[in-house]
Amino acid sequence: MDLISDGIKERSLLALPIVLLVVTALFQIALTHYSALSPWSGGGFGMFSTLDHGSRRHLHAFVLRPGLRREVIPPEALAEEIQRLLTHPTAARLRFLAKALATVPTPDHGPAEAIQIQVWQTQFDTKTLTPASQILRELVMRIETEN
Amino acid sequence: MTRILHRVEAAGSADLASRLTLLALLLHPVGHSSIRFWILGLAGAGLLIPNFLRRPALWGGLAFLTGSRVVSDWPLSDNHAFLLSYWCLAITLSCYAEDRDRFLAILGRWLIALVFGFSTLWKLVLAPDFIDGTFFRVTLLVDPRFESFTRLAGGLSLEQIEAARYAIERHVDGGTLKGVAAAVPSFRFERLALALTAWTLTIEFALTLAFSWGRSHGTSRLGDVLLIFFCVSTYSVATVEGFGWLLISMGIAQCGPGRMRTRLAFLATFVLILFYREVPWLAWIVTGAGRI
Repeated sequence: MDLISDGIKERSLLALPIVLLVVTALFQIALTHYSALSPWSGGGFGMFSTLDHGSRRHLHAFVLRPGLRREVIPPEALAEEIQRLLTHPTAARLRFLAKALATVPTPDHGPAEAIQIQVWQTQFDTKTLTPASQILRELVMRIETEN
Repeated sequence: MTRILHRVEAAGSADLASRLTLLALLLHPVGHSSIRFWILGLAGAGLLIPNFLRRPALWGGLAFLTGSRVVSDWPLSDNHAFLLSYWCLAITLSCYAEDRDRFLAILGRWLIALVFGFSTLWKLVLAPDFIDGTFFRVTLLVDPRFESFTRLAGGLSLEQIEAARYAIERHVDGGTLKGVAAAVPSFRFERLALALTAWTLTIEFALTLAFSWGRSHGTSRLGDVLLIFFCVSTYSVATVEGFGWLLISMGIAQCGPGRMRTRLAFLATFVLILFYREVPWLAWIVTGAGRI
Protein backbone atom coordinates (compact mmCIF):
# COMPACT_ATOMS: atom_id res chain seq x y z
CA MET A 1 0.00 0.00 0.00
CA ASP A 2 2.87 2.31 0.87
CA LEU A 3 4.47 1.59 -2.50
CA ILE A 4 1.23 2.34 -4.32
CA SER A 5 0.59 5.53 -2.41
CA ASP A 6 4.22 6.57 -2.93
CA GLY A 7 3.75 5.88 -6.65
CA ILE A 8 0.57 7.96 -6.75
CA LYS A 9 2.26 10.74 -4.83
CA GLU A 10 5.20 10.78 -7.22
CA ARG A 11 2.92 10.82 -10.24
CA SER A 12 0.95 13.68 -8.76
CA LEU A 13 4.11 15.68 -8.18
CA LEU A 14 5.31 14.90 -11.70
CA ALA A 15 2.00 16.00 -13.17
CA LEU A 16 1.88 19.37 -11.43
CA PRO A 17 4.28 21.43 -13.62
CA ILE A 18 3.06 19.66 -16.74
CA VAL A 19 -0.59 20.33 -16.00
CA LEU A 20 0.23 23.93 -15.11
CA LEU A 21 1.95 24.44 -18.46
CA VAL A 22 -0.80 22.79 -20.48
CA VAL A 23 -3.67 24.56 -18.72
CA THR A 24 -1.94 27.95 -18.98
CA ALA A 25 -1.12 27.45 -22.65
CA LEU A 26 -4.68 26.41 -23.51
CA PHE A 27 -6.04 29.34 -21.51
CA GLN A 28 -3.72 31.64 -23.45
CA ILE A 29 -4.94 30.29 -26.78
CA ALA A 30 -8.52 30.94 -25.68
CA LEU A 31 -7.66 34.48 -24.59
CA THR A 32 -5.97 35.27 -27.90
CA HIS A 33 -9.12 34.25 -29.73
CA TYR A 34 -11.75 35.75 -27.46
CA SER A 35 -10.15 38.80 -25.92
CA ALA A 36 -7.35 39.79 -28.30
CA LEU A 37 -4.44 38.84 -26.04
CA SER A 38 -1.24 39.10 -28.05
CA PRO A 39 0.03 35.60 -28.96
CA TRP A 40 3.49 36.68 -27.78
CA SER A 41 2.27 36.82 -24.19
CA GLY A 42 0.37 34.68 -21.74
CA GLY A 43 2.48 31.53 -21.64
CA GLY A 44 1.19 29.85 -24.77
CA PHE A 45 4.57 29.76 -26.54
CA GLY A 46 3.34 31.79 -29.48
CA MET A 47 6.39 34.06 -29.54
CA PHE A 48 8.16 34.25 -32.88
CA SER A 49 5.13 32.77 -34.63
CA THR A 50 3.22 35.90 -35.56
CA LEU A 51 3.73 39.59 -36.13
CA ASP A 52 0.87 40.47 -33.77
CA HIS A 53 2.72 41.48 -30.62
CA GLY A 54 2.01 44.33 -28.24
CA SER A 55 4.68 46.63 -29.63
CA ARG A 56 3.21 46.30 -33.12
CA ARG A 57 -0.17 47.52 -31.90
CA HIS A 58 -0.83 51.18 -31.19
CA LEU A 59 -3.53 53.31 -29.72
CA HIS A 60 -5.22 56.62 -30.34
CA ALA A 61 -7.13 58.46 -27.62
CA PHE A 62 -9.54 61.33 -28.15
CA VAL A 63 -11.42 63.73 -25.92
CA LEU A 64 -14.90 64.39 -27.29
CA ARG A 65 -16.75 67.64 -26.87
CA PRO A 66 -19.84 68.83 -28.78
CA GLY A 67 -18.64 69.26 -32.34
CA LEU A 68 -15.01 68.57 -31.49
CA ARG A 69 -12.75 65.52 -31.26
CA ARG A 70 -9.21 66.19 -30.05
CA GLU A 71 -6.51 63.57 -29.91
CA VAL A 72 -4.60 63.47 -26.62
CA ILE A 73 -1.11 62.15 -25.98
CA PRO A 74 -1.15 59.96 -22.89
CA PRO A 75 1.34 61.08 -20.23
CA GLU A 76 4.54 59.07 -19.72
CA ALA A 77 3.26 57.90 -16.32
CA LEU A 78 0.69 55.75 -18.13
CA ALA A 79 3.28 54.07 -20.38
CA GLU A 80 3.27 50.72 -18.59
CA GLU A 81 -0.52 50.65 -18.34
CA ILE A 82 -0.74 51.37 -22.06
CA GLN A 83 1.69 48.54 -22.79
CA ARG A 84 -0.52 46.17 -20.80
CA LEU A 85 -3.56 47.48 -22.66
CA LEU A 86 -1.97 46.97 -26.06
CA THR A 87 -0.95 43.44 -25.12
CA HIS A 88 -4.39 42.56 -23.77
CA PRO A 89 -7.07 45.18 -24.54
CA THR A 90 -9.77 44.18 -22.07
CA ALA A 91 -12.79 46.31 -21.32
CA ALA A 92 -11.54 46.94 -17.79
CA ARG A 93 -8.16 48.24 -19.03
CA LEU A 94 -9.84 50.44 -21.62
CA ARG A 95 -12.09 51.95 -18.96
CA PHE A 96 -9.17 52.48 -16.58
CA LEU A 97 -7.22 54.32 -19.26
CA ALA A 98 -10.24 56.36 -20.27
CA LYS A 99 -10.74 57.52 -16.67
CA ALA A 100 -7.05 58.45 -16.43
CA LEU A 101 -7.16 60.37 -19.72
CA ALA A 102 -10.31 62.28 -18.69
CA THR A 103 -8.09 64.36 -16.42
CA VAL A 104 -5.55 65.28 -19.12
CA PRO A 105 -5.92 69.00 -19.87
CA THR A 106 -6.70 70.15 -23.41
CA PRO A 107 -6.82 73.67 -24.85
CA ASP A 108 -10.55 73.43 -25.49
CA HIS A 109 -13.26 75.08 -23.39
CA GLY A 110 -16.15 73.40 -21.71
CA PRO A 111 -16.49 70.00 -20.09
CA ALA A 112 -15.54 66.91 -22.07
CA GLU A 113 -18.44 64.63 -23.01
CA ALA A 114 -16.58 61.40 -23.57
CA ILE A 115 -13.22 59.70 -24.04
CA GLN A 116 -12.70 57.54 -27.11
CA ILE A 117 -9.87 54.98 -27.18
CA GLN A 118 -8.96 52.89 -30.22
CA VAL A 119 -6.49 50.00 -30.19
CA TRP A 120 -5.13 49.33 -33.68
CA GLN A 121 -3.49 46.24 -35.06
CA THR A 122 -1.20 46.15 -38.10
CA GLN A 123 -1.26 43.39 -40.68
CA PHE A 124 0.85 42.93 -43.77
CA ASP A 125 -0.08 42.06 -47.33
CA THR A 126 1.29 38.61 -48.13
CA LYS A 127 2.77 39.60 -51.47
CA THR A 128 3.89 43.21 -51.06
CA LEU A 129 4.26 43.46 -47.21
CA THR A 130 2.22 46.68 -47.40
CA PRO A 131 1.00 47.47 -43.90
CA ALA A 132 -2.70 47.92 -43.19
CA SER A 133 -4.16 48.83 -39.81
CA GLN A 134 -7.50 47.86 -38.39
CA ILE A 135 -9.24 48.60 -35.12
CA LEU A 136 -8.88 45.72 -32.70
CA ARG A 137 -10.83 47.20 -29.78
CA GLU A 138 -12.61 50.50 -29.25
CA LEU A 139 -14.24 52.18 -26.30
CA VAL A 140 -16.25 55.38 -26.04
CA MET A 141 -16.79 56.19 -22.38
CA ARG A 142 -19.10 59.00 -21.36
CA ILE A 143 -17.71 61.29 -18.72
CA GLU A 144 -20.12 62.00 -15.91
CA THR A 145 -19.86 65.55 -14.65
CA GLU A 146 -20.81 66.63 -11.12
CA ASN A 147 -23.83 68.95 -10.89
CA MET B 1 41.30 18.65 -17.03
CA THR B 2 40.75 14.91 -16.57
CA ARG B 3 39.46 15.55 -13.08
CA ILE B 4 36.97 18.10 -14.36
CA LEU B 5 35.75 15.73 -17.06
CA HIS B 6 35.40 12.97 -14.50
CA ARG B 7 33.36 15.20 -12.24
CA VAL B 8 31.11 16.19 -15.13
CA GLU B 9 30.62 12.55 -16.01
CA ALA B 10 29.93 11.46 -12.43
CA ALA B 11 27.65 14.34 -11.44
CA GLY B 12 24.00 13.64 -10.95
CA SER B 13 21.96 15.04 -13.84
CA ALA B 14 19.63 16.88 -11.45
CA ASP B 15 22.56 18.61 -9.75
CA LEU B 16 24.07 19.57 -13.09
CA ALA B 17 20.76 20.94 -14.35
CA SER B 18 20.23 22.82 -11.08
CA ARG B 19 23.66 24.46 -11.28
CA LEU B 20 23.09 25.52 -14.88
CA THR B 21 19.72 26.99 -13.95
CA LEU B 22 21.26 29.04 -11.15
CA LEU B 23 24.09 30.16 -13.42
CA ALA B 24 21.55 31.22 -16.04
CA LEU B 25 19.71 33.28 -13.41
CA LEU B 26 22.93 35.08 -12.54
CA LEU B 27 23.91 35.68 -16.16
CA HIS B 28 20.43 36.74 -17.20
CA PRO B 29 18.81 38.44 -14.18
CA VAL B 30 15.04 38.61 -14.29
CA GLY B 31 12.29 40.58 -12.60
CA HIS B 32 11.81 44.08 -11.20
CA SER B 33 14.30 45.30 -8.63
CA SER B 34 12.39 44.06 -5.58
CA ILE B 35 12.14 40.52 -6.95
CA ARG B 36 15.48 40.53 -8.79
CA PHE B 37 17.51 41.09 -5.63
CA TRP B 38 16.06 37.99 -3.98
CA ILE B 39 16.36 35.83 -7.11
CA LEU B 40 20.01 36.78 -7.52
CA GLY B 41 20.64 36.20 -3.84
CA LEU B 42 19.11 32.73 -3.89
CA ALA B 43 20.89 31.81 -7.13
CA GLY B 44 24.23 32.89 -5.71
CA ALA B 45 23.61 31.06 -2.45
CA GLY B 46 22.69 27.89 -4.30
CA LEU B 47 25.95 27.92 -6.21
CA LEU B 48 28.26 29.01 -3.41
CA ILE B 49 26.95 27.32 -0.25
CA PRO B 50 27.80 23.62 -0.40
CA ASN B 51 24.56 21.93 0.67
CA PHE B 52 22.18 24.58 -0.52
CA LEU B 53 21.80 23.28 -4.04
CA ARG B 54 19.36 20.53 -3.07
CA ARG B 55 17.36 22.45 -0.51
CA PRO B 56 13.61 22.59 -1.24
CA ALA B 57 13.50 26.01 0.43
CA LEU B 58 15.93 27.45 -2.14
CA TRP B 59 13.99 26.16 -5.11
CA GLY B 60 10.62 26.80 -3.51
CA GLY B 61 11.71 30.39 -3.01
CA LEU B 62 12.78 30.68 -6.64
CA ALA B 63 9.56 29.06 -7.85
CA PHE B 64 7.56 31.51 -5.74
CA LEU B 65 9.52 34.56 -6.90
CA THR B 66 9.50 33.64 -10.59
CA GLY B 67 5.83 32.67 -10.40
CA SER B 68 4.81 35.88 -8.66
CA ARG B 69 6.77 37.79 -11.28
CA VAL B 70 4.57 36.21 -13.98
CA VAL B 71 1.42 37.13 -12.07
CA SER B 72 2.45 40.70 -11.24
CA ASP B 73 3.68 41.39 -14.78
CA TRP B 74 0.55 39.98 -16.43
CA PRO B 75 0.04 40.17 -19.37
CA LEU B 76 3.54 41.33 -20.27
CA SER B 77 5.53 38.24 -19.27
CA ASP B 78 7.08 36.35 -22.15
CA ASN B 79 7.53 32.58 -22.64
CA HIS B 80 10.81 32.57 -20.74
CA ALA B 81 9.17 33.88 -17.58
CA PHE B 82 6.53 31.16 -17.62
CA LEU B 83 8.94 28.34 -18.44
CA LEU B 84 11.38 29.50 -15.77
CA SER B 85 8.70 29.35 -13.10
CA TYR B 86 7.57 25.87 -14.23
CA TRP B 87 11.19 24.66 -14.18
CA CYS B 88 11.91 26.09 -10.73
CA LEU B 89 8.75 24.34 -9.52
CA ALA B 90 9.93 21.12 -11.14
CA ILE B 91 13.29 21.32 -9.36
CA THR B 92 11.53 22.11 -6.07
CA LEU B 93 9.36 19.00 -6.41
CA SER B 94 12.38 16.88 -7.37
CA CYS B 95 13.87 17.62 -3.96
CA TYR B 96 11.12 15.43 -2.46
CA ALA B 97 11.53 12.55 -4.91
CA GLU B 98 13.18 9.31 -4.00
CA ASP B 99 15.16 9.28 -7.27
CA ARG B 100 15.75 12.96 -7.94
CA ASP B 101 17.65 12.43 -11.19
CA ARG B 102 14.89 10.26 -12.69
CA PHE B 103 12.16 12.62 -11.51
CA LEU B 104 13.75 15.70 -13.05
CA ALA B 105 14.68 13.81 -16.22
CA ILE B 106 11.02 12.99 -16.81
CA LEU B 107 9.92 16.57 -16.20
CA GLY B 108 12.72 18.03 -18.32
CA ARG B 109 11.75 15.81 -21.21
CA TRP B 110 8.03 16.58 -21.02
CA LEU B 111 8.48 20.30 -20.55
CA ILE B 112 10.69 20.41 -23.66
CA ALA B 113 8.15 18.34 -25.61
CA LEU B 114 5.27 20.59 -24.58
CA VAL B 115 7.13 23.86 -25.22
CA PHE B 116 7.93 22.82 -28.76
CA GLY B 117 4.54 21.21 -29.20
CA PHE B 118 2.68 24.43 -28.45
CA SER B 119 5.21 26.44 -30.42
CA THR B 120 4.62 24.20 -33.43
CA LEU B 121 0.87 24.48 -32.98
CA TRP B 122 1.10 28.25 -33.13
CA LYS B 123 3.34 28.30 -36.17
CA LEU B 124 1.53 25.62 -38.13
CA VAL B 125 -2.09 26.27 -37.26
CA LEU B 126 -2.89 29.31 -35.17
CA ALA B 127 -0.74 32.02 -36.76
CA PRO B 128 -1.48 32.37 -40.49
CA ASP B 129 1.30 34.90 -40.98
CA PHE B 130 3.99 32.37 -40.10
CA ILE B 131 3.42 29.56 -42.54
CA ASP B 132 3.09 31.87 -45.53
CA GLY B 133 6.51 33.34 -44.78
CA THR B 134 5.27 36.82 -43.87
CA PHE B 135 6.61 36.58 -40.32
CA PHE B 136 10.24 36.08 -41.33
CA ARG B 137 10.02 38.43 -44.30
CA VAL B 138 8.96 41.27 -42.01
CA THR B 139 11.02 40.30 -38.94
CA LEU B 140 14.29 39.96 -40.84
CA LEU B 141 13.83 43.48 -42.16
CA VAL B 142 12.51 45.39 -39.16
CA ASP B 143 14.05 43.66 -36.12
CA PRO B 144 17.52 45.20 -35.55
CA ARG B 145 18.73 41.98 -33.86
CA PHE B 146 18.58 40.26 -37.23
CA GLU B 147 20.25 43.00 -39.24
CA SER B 148 23.70 41.41 -39.52
CA PHE B 149 22.21 38.03 -40.36
CA THR B 150 19.94 39.58 -43.01
CA ARG B 151 22.90 41.35 -44.59
CA LEU B 152 25.07 38.24 -44.57
CA ALA B 153 22.58 35.51 -45.51
CA GLY B 154 20.07 37.65 -47.36
CA GLY B 155 22.70 39.54 -49.33
CA LEU B 156 21.09 42.90 -48.60
CA SER B 157 22.89 46.18 -48.13
CA LEU B 158 22.18 48.49 -45.23
CA GLU B 159 20.42 50.88 -47.61
CA GLN B 160 18.14 48.12 -48.88
CA ILE B 161 17.22 47.13 -45.33
CA GLU B 162 16.52 50.72 -44.33
CA ALA B 163 14.37 51.31 -47.42
CA ALA B 164 12.42 48.13 -46.75
CA ARG B 165 12.03 49.02 -43.09
CA TYR B 166 10.66 52.43 -44.01
CA ALA B 167 8.17 50.87 -46.45
CA ILE B 168 6.98 48.29 -43.92
CA GLU B 169 6.69 50.67 -40.99
CA ARG B 170 4.56 53.29 -42.75
CA HIS B 171 1.54 54.18 -40.73
CA VAL B 172 -1.94 55.01 -42.04
CA ASP B 173 -4.92 54.12 -39.89
CA GLY B 174 -8.05 53.25 -41.82
CA GLY B 175 -6.50 54.18 -45.13
CA THR B 176 -4.82 52.23 -47.90
CA LEU B 177 -1.16 52.40 -48.74
CA LYS B 178 0.40 51.54 -52.08
CA GLY B 179 2.84 48.69 -52.31
CA VAL B 180 6.47 49.72 -52.51
CA ALA B 181 9.08 47.64 -54.32
CA ALA B 182 11.63 48.26 -51.58
CA ALA B 183 9.58 46.11 -49.17
CA VAL B 184 10.42 43.05 -51.28
CA PRO B 185 14.15 43.60 -51.72
CA SER B 186 15.41 40.53 -53.59
CA PHE B 187 14.66 36.98 -54.69
CA ARG B 188 17.49 35.69 -52.51
CA PHE B 189 15.97 37.37 -49.45
CA GLU B 190 12.54 35.90 -50.21
CA ARG B 191 14.05 32.43 -50.49
CA LEU B 192 15.89 32.95 -47.20
CA ALA B 193 12.67 33.86 -45.41
CA LEU B 194 10.87 30.82 -46.79
CA ALA B 195 13.80 28.55 -45.94
CA LEU B 196 13.84 29.81 -42.35
CA THR B 197 10.09 29.24 -42.13
CA ALA B 198 10.40 25.65 -43.31
CA TRP B 199 13.46 24.98 -41.15
CA THR B 200 11.87 26.35 -37.97
CA LEU B 201 8.69 24.33 -38.48
CA THR B 202 10.62 21.17 -39.23
CA ILE B 203 13.01 21.29 -36.30
CA GLU B 204 10.39 22.32 -33.75
CA PHE B 205 8.05 19.56 -34.88
CA ALA B 206 10.93 17.07 -34.81
CA LEU B 207 11.82 18.16 -31.26
CA THR B 208 8.21 17.71 -30.18
CA LEU B 209 8.18 14.17 -31.51
CA ALA B 210 11.64 13.22 -30.25
CA PHE B 211 10.97 14.32 -26.69
CA SER B 212 7.41 13.04 -26.43
CA TRP B 213 8.16 9.63 -27.96
CA GLY B 214 9.25 6.76 -25.72
CA ARG B 215 12.59 6.76 -23.96
CA SER B 216 14.30 4.30 -26.28
CA HIS B 217 17.98 4.77 -26.91
CA GLY B 218 17.48 6.07 -30.44
CA THR B 219 14.87 8.74 -29.78
CA SER B 220 16.68 9.94 -26.67
CA ARG B 221 19.93 10.51 -28.59
CA LEU B 222 18.08 12.09 -31.52
CA GLY B 223 16.27 14.49 -29.18
CA ASP B 224 19.54 15.59 -27.60
CA VAL B 225 21.20 16.15 -30.97
CA LEU B 226 18.21 18.10 -32.26
CA LEU B 227 18.01 20.24 -29.14
CA ILE B 228 21.69 21.09 -29.24
CA PHE B 229 21.46 21.86 -32.94
CA PHE B 230 18.38 24.01 -32.36
CA CYS B 231 20.16 26.04 -29.67
CA VAL B 232 23.39 26.41 -31.67
CA SER B 233 21.56 27.62 -34.77
CA THR B 234 18.69 29.64 -33.31
CA TYR B 235 20.56 31.57 -30.65
CA SER B 236 23.35 32.51 -33.04
CA VAL B 237 20.80 34.86 -34.58
CA ALA B 238 17.98 35.39 -32.09
CA THR B 239 19.66 36.56 -28.91
CA VAL B 240 17.12 35.23 -26.45
CA GLU B 241 19.78 33.63 -24.32
CA GLY B 242 17.69 33.12 -21.15
CA PHE B 243 15.34 30.79 -22.97
CA GLY B 244 18.20 28.93 -24.61
CA TRP B 245 19.93 28.36 -21.28
CA LEU B 246 16.71 27.09 -19.79
CA LEU B 247 16.31 24.55 -22.62
CA ILE B 248 19.88 23.37 -22.06
CA SER B 249 19.27 22.95 -18.32
CA MET B 250 16.22 20.81 -19.12
CA GLY B 251 18.13 18.92 -21.78
CA ILE B 252 20.99 18.05 -19.46
CA ALA B 253 18.51 17.00 -16.75
CA GLN B 254 17.45 14.07 -18.90
CA CYS B 255 21.01 13.14 -19.78
CA GLY B 256 22.12 10.52 -17.29
CA PRO B 257 25.66 9.72 -16.06
CA GLY B 258 27.79 7.84 -18.56
CA ARG B 259 26.64 10.10 -21.41
CA MET B 260 29.74 12.16 -21.14
CA ARG B 261 29.92 13.46 -24.68
CA THR B 262 26.29 14.60 -24.71
CA ARG B 263 26.73 16.37 -21.39
CA LEU B 264 29.83 18.11 -22.67
CA ALA B 265 27.95 19.11 -25.81
CA PHE B 266 25.18 20.67 -23.70
CA LEU B 267 27.73 22.49 -21.55
CA ALA B 268 29.60 23.70 -24.61
CA THR B 269 26.33 24.98 -26.08
CA PHE B 270 25.65 26.87 -22.86
CA VAL B 271 29.02 28.59 -23.21
CA LEU B 272 28.44 29.15 -26.93
CA ILE B 273 25.20 31.04 -26.23
CA LEU B 274 27.14 33.27 -23.84
CA PHE B 275 29.63 33.88 -26.64
CA TYR B 276 26.79 34.76 -29.02
CA ARG B 277 25.48 37.29 -26.52
CA GLU B 278 28.75 38.94 -25.66
CA VAL B 279 30.66 38.91 -28.95
CA PRO B 280 29.23 40.68 -32.03
CA TRP B 281 30.68 37.98 -34.25
CA LEU B 282 28.06 38.32 -37.00
CA ALA B 283 28.72 42.03 -37.29
CA TRP B 284 32.45 41.28 -37.47
CA ILE B 285 31.88 38.81 -40.32
CA VAL B 286 29.73 41.34 -42.19
CA THR B 287 32.37 44.00 -41.68
CA GLY B 288 35.14 41.67 -42.69
CA ALA B 289 33.29 40.71 -45.84
CA GLY B 290 33.35 44.40 -46.72
CA ARG B 291 29.61 44.75 -46.93
CA ILE B 292 29.47 47.97 -44.93
